[in-house]
Amino acid sequence: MFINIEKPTSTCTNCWETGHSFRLCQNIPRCSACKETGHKPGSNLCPQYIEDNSNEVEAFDGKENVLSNFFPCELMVFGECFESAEQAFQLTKAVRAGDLLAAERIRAAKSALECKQIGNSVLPSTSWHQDAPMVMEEIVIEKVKQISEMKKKITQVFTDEKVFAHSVYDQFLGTGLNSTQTVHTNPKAWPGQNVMGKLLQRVAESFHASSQRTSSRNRKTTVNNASKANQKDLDGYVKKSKLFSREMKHGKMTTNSGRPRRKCVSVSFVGDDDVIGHIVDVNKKYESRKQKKRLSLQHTRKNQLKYTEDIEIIEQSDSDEENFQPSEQGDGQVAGSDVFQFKTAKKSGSMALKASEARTPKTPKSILKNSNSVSSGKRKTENVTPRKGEGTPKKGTQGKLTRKGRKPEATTPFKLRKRAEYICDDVDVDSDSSDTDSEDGESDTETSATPVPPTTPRSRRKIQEAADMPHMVEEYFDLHSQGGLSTTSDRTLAKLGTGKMDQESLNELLRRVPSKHSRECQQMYEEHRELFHKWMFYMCNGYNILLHGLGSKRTLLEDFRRSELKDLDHVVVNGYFPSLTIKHILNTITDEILEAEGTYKSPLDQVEFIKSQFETKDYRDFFLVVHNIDGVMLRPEKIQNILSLLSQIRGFHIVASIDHINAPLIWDQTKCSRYRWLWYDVTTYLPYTDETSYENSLLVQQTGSLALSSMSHVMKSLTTNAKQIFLLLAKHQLENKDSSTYLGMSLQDLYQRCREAFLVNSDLTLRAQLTEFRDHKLIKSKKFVLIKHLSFPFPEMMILKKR
Amino acid sequence: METGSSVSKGTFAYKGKKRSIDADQYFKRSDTLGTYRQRLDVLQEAWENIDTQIQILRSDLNSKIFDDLVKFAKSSHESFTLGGGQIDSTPKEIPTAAFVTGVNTPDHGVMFSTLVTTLQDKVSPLVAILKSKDCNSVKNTLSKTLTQLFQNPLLFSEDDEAIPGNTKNMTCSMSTLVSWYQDKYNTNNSSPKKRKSLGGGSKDLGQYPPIVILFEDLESFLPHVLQDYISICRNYIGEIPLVFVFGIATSVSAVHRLLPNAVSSMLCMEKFQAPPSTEYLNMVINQILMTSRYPFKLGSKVFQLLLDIFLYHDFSVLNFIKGLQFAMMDHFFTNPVSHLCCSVEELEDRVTSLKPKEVEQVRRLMSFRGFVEGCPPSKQEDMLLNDKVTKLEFVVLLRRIHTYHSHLYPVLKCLHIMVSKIPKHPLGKQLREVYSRLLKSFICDTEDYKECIELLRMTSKDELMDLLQQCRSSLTEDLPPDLSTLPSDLDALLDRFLKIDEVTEEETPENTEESLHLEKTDLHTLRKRLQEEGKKKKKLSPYEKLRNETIDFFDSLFRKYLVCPTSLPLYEIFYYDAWGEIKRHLNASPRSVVQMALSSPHHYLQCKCCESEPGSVTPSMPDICIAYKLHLECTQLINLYDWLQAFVTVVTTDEDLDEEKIKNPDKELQARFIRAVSELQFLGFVKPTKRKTDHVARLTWGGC
Repeated sequence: MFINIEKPTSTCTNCWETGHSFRLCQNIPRCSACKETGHKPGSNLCPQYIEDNSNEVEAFDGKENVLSNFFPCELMVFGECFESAEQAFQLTKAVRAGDLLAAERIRAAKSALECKQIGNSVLPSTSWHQDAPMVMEEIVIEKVKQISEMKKKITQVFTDEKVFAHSVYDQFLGTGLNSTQTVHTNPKAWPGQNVMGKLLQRVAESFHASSQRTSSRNRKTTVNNASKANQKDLDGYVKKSKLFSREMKHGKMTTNSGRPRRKCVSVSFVGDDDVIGHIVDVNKKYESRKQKKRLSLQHTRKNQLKYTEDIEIIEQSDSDEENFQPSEQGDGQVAGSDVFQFKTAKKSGSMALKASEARTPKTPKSILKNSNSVSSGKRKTENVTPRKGEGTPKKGTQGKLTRKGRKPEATTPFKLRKRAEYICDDVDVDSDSSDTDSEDGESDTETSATPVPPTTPRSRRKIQEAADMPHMVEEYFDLHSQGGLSTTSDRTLAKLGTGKMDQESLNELLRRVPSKHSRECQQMYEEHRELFHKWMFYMCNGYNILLHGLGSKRTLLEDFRRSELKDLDHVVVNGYFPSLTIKHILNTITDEILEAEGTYKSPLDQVEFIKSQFETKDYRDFFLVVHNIDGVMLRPEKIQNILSLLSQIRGFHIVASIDHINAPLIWDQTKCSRYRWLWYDVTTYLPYTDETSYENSLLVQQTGSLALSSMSHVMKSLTTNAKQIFLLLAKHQLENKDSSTYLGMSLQDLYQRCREAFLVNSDLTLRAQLTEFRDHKLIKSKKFVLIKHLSFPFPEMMILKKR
Repeated sequence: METGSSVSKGTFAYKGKKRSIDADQYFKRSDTLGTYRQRLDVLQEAWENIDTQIQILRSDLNSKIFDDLVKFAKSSHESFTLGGGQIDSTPKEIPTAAFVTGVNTPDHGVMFSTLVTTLQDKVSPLVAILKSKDCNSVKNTLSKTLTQLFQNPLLFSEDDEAIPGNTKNMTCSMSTLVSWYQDKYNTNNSSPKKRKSLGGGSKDLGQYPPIVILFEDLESFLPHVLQDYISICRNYIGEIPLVFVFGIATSVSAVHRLLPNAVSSMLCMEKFQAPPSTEYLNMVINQILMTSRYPFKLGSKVFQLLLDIFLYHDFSVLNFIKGLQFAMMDHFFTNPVSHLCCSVEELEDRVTSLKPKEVEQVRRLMSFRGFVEGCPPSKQEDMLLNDKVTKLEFVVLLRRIHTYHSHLYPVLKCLHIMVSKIPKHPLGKQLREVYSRLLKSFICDTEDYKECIELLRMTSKDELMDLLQQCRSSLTEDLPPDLSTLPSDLDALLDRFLKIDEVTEEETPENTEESLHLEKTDLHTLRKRLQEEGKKKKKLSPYEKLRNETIDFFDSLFRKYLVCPTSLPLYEIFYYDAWGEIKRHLNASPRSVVQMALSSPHHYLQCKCCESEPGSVTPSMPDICIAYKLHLECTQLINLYDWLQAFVTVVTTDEDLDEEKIKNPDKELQARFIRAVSELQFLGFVKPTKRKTDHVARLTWGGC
């Protein structure tokens, strides 16, 4: 897609002879345009001189011109923020060359010129002259998208049918002449290649072309929308060019395809890593390596590939290859390599994609429609939230654009077209967040610019596995170098329209939900039940039972307790209980089971006491049933130590469950062997209703109904005066509820008011009352300022009720 | 009382009427044939035997190192006299034994408790053991030391008035200890009678028994506590005879890492190396698994698994024994005819008392079926239908396994001796490796075995004789009748090797004579003849002949006795090889179980609807699986809103899917999603984050 670029040979820019550099030149200067001596380029002596052609040529240079790279502007490219396009470009150059020192300096540089100077000192990598236009193009596209002035300018220049000429002395990017010289020299005789100019030309061209198309198609598009449409089309261009370059490189389409939609225009998100990936494998050398990388990621990609129809062929070959891999899943276990992986590259939209995928195989038709409606629905909502890092306010409204499906225009078979849509569409669902590129693609395959996706050359897939490892390493660092934030969308739950639910209503709702697979779950449960006597037998022999596996094991353990332990001493511990302490457990054992009175210096002391009680008297069996021995409060090393010491006592048995995936890490070698666990996989798939009810889930509103009820109990037992004091405090807080600096009511103030209301007669009585509140955790005090936090969410209601 | 959703309590106690449980009743419930009582008896008896044997081994193993330690503790304060400290003003160093115990920390508790009792018996009743868990400050450490010393039951059997009150109201300092010690042994000095009775069984304790303080896990002590404690103790070394024993799991350098030079210079250290745990393991394997004394055996896979757990996980013999015990229990629990796994004496009674159902059960064993098929047809019918005949056959077969065992182990030891010196150890260095190969397949058919025999055919005379000698000496145990001639055979061979020089002299002249008879021939025949001659020259020397003969003898011996146990009929009764059970229950991988359940619910549910390729999502899956699979597609952060949308897209059926519904799903769907997410949070896959609103952070990267 790029123009053939001649490699700049080391030609002297003074005498135009090869073999030496400008600085060492002894010869008489020649005109750079006609290579004759005696005049400078752009002077009327030059045979290539022409009259001012500034009507045809748009020469640009310097930081005043928006088209120039030196133009200072905030630009987000490659996931970084730059102060000018030049900085981005030079930084890329330095990084590619491996000159990180220079890269740092470029990052710190104050002006674009400084960047350029530093950049010039960098010895570019061998492939740089090939990569440079692509990098530049990337930057320019970003610039056009992000900088409104740039957009305006580029449109204007293009509509004036002018030629872009980058009038700098750069032989490669520019025309090799300054702006006056450029204007006065025949474009054909420009010594420089004017790559930058051509590049802008191309960008403007396709952008314009698509905007033309869109406007002709969408007759209803108002003038107001035109610029937005342009924006869209520009995105489309980017998309296309990206696709195109991808095809060039990999011979296939992008993998981040989306759901099919009927409308032709669509936006697809391409993540930062993709952009970088796209830049990186420009040349052939990289190409094969990239392929290898792909293979290493096959496993994850496979999912994404699966339902993208047009790459089904590849997919098949993928799965073929995978079939050869020996399955390590002996005995129904998952191989460790599957469980413990590094982070892998993910497209941000893949979740939505996966979701839609779940339905695709069944009813592709309806999906086509549905997902369409989904995304258009989303598009509306998008308008509300400003997009992060957005340069122009215009962009926010882009989604309003309505488009109509267009009939396919012959030539391309419909099926193929549909596939292409599949690919291009991905979209809004995928979130917009990092606006590196979120684009809109015209998916009409008949456009000359977008060729029909070629079939994948199979030969590429033959890859040596040996080279995978270093790429995994690279991949790893690639992934970790970019922040995780950049790839998620900005939507919040506030959009749901409904508020957060509280725990109670949640439970109420869930109770009504029919559970899936209840029959199978019941069957599994019965199978687990049959193990009860086995557990008991092993426990008789000094082992302890540890249950693991997905699903709540509470019911099973309770069942076990009721059926097997009903006649025996046992203590049940809810490990997930948020305010559980080891003291509670030990006290329960000593006070309620051993019925011994005593004070203990430390928990260890208490363990010693329990031990002596069990081991010196006659043999007795005792069972400790711990739901979630990996509960938050039981995790500390000391507590596990104590529990493991308990487990060593003769006749002391533990039945416990774990749920957290990293739970075994709480035990070291010694503790593990003290416990003498026998592990049982009791996957039940039952919901963790009780276990998660304490958890401060994100989505659940904490009602504090507990505090409310406890407060009403306390209130009932209070004297009228005390009630009045409490109400006084509460009212004060309510009055000040909007003030963010409100700390609380000072004790002095409170005392004053209470006195005024004849509620207390001395400071002491007030303090006595407050102590009572504090003991019931109704108020909090801080230093000398009494801070009262109403611990219930509906104070008004509460107070009204009290009256 | 419902324990689930209480908001005020986390613990609930239930008192029961019964005091204890009985293994019987639980064993009974799994019974199908009514053999539970016998099986349980056999199991308990077998386990008791093995357990006592292990105890013996344990004390044997450490006896030497304990002796050294005892000697050290005794000798370190021989010249100690009370009041000596005041005279000798130069501060002494504290004698310290650095006891390197090895990394198998789970076994240390037992080791130290035996050490304590040994020291109390042989050195001094004043022994204190400190564990890092009790010693988080100097005060605690001191009080722990003093309580252990003062409340020693050995001291106060008769001497009631000497008890220094309750430790609680006593100031815990070294000076208390010093005055107590002086008080005690000064008075003892004046009344030697009392001292004698005090000393109890250990009369040779000397006048001033040293105070031995053991640090069980030195590495886990807090450095500053340890430093202060040592400094304090050093100040009193002149007044009381202190001895330290440091239990070190890693290496002596740990002491220097913990203690600065100023402190470590107060110690006079001597290193004691405990035998490595592999030695203990070898003993256990040799004495328990590789004897005919205990009929229960481990099959090849289980044996290998337990070895692997030992070698690659913990080096803990206790855990190995735990595994062994579990294997035994499971064997007797699950195999209804395992009561036949008894000693030879009881065998006949047990077999004759078999009930028809049990006989049927035995018939079903795979190895027996194979055996019957190999029998002549006339016999086959009897075997399958006639219980009497079958029972007789059982006795024969089971006896055969017993005799097989009695032959196997001596011969196996010989094999190990023969192959253990061979370069590269094709059959393994350790006896356990050779044994594990034997369990797996017929060892004499393996390539490695053939290689060994080839290499043995090349050994020098000295080496071979050495090997023979070793074999001979290993065969000291009482041998079964079939092998009783083996030692004498070996002796004969050895004799012949010794006399081999005489034989050579006789035979050599013949050879030389022959070679002298050269006739006149043409070149071709000469060459042929010379070639033949060359071959003849290679003709074996008497030593080589004898060597070949010896190796052949051993080869046939091995081939005869070292049969793979799985080739014997009814081996299932003795060999336990349920590898999966052991793996699942002793060496489980809980995370992979959870991830398996999440990623392919079909594996557990066995339903038709969820049957799909791994990685795909179907609406029929449990909610949590859907949420999990969707979250796999995300990077570090997950947008809850997007997640919810995706979830709703998957879950809703096609008919009621409309724009509005997805955009604003009904409460029920939301609730299901909330539940799924909070469950994932509970399992540790995601956690709330404040980096972005309404986002959660992903915590794992593996997905399958």
